Amino acid sequence: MLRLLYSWLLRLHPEGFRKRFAQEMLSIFDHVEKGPAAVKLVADALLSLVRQWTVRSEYWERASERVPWSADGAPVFYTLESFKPRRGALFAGGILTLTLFCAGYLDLKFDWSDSAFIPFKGIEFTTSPKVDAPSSLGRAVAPAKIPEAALQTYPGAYVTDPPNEFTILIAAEDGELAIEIPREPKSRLVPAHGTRFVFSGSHDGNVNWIEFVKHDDGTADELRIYRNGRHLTAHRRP
Amino acid sequence: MKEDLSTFLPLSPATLHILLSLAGEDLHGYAIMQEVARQSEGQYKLGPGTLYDNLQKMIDRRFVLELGHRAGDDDPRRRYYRLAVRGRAILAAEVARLEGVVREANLRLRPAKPRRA
Repeated sequence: MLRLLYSWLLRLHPEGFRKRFAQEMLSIFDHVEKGPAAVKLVADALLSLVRQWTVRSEYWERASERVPWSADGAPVFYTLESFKPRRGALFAGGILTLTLFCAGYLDLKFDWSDSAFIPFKGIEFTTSPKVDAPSSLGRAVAPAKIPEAALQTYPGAYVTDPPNEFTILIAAEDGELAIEIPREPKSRLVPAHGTRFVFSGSHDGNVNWIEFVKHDDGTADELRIYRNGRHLTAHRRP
Repeated sequence: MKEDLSTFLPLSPATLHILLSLAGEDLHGYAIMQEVARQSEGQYKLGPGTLYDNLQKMIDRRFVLELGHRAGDDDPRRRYYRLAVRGRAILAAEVARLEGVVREANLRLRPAKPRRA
């Protein structure tokens, strides 16, 4: 059984390696005492397989290439239609695809609010007064002051998209942003990172956030809100 | 003109042990594995995958020659290998380098002489 597995692993090696060394490796396997030593050889073959296809793949591809020559001695050139990707490239591409797929899946599965609070670069930190940061962010941080120039790009009236249109007011007060939504108390916005802010005083572990989308001239002309389980989009009133 | 082999130094442990095992006589793969284990007193063991991966590199660099099957051998799948002149030179260079390391180590690890007050 182990011998079958071992020879199967050898068959999976690149053709050049297999033709050159597979029989010798099988010969060694046959001379080794069966038991733990044979199991170690199987593990070694598995490592060898990964090594040959990842680290050494280019070597075997180059070794197997032969410059084609026509009957009269002139080189023959392949066109794009006959292009075949290298096996090593396919293998590496498969691993990369799988990794990216897993990363994308995990990113979609977990809300951004589960990540750590990342301070916005360039913001001047102060120690007064403490913001009651949402518990789901993991740790409380001192509020950051947004530079005045950046602060003034956000205030304005934003109208939500139909069918339920209403106006959201963003104001700059004492170096911070505040948001007014109809029939709700005014809230301060705590900078998260980039153009993303968190509603201060979020309860029950729910993190409500707002993200501004800026125009080419640097002013915010759209905002996206995640609040109490709902997503809203609003555009700046002209 | 003497070839500059310093670009290949330092040798990996696997390469060093394989070259060392071939320094005495021509050997086949399994015998190389056994000789490496014997030389290192069991501290360093080569698997066939590592062995042939290194042999392939050494053959390409002309450190080792592949002799093929030896007549009279009971297993026709075995192929023998010989240390080439270039391989012997690189082995000597590596041993010289290691001797320098040992010399330096002995100097620095020597107990400090007591100083007079």
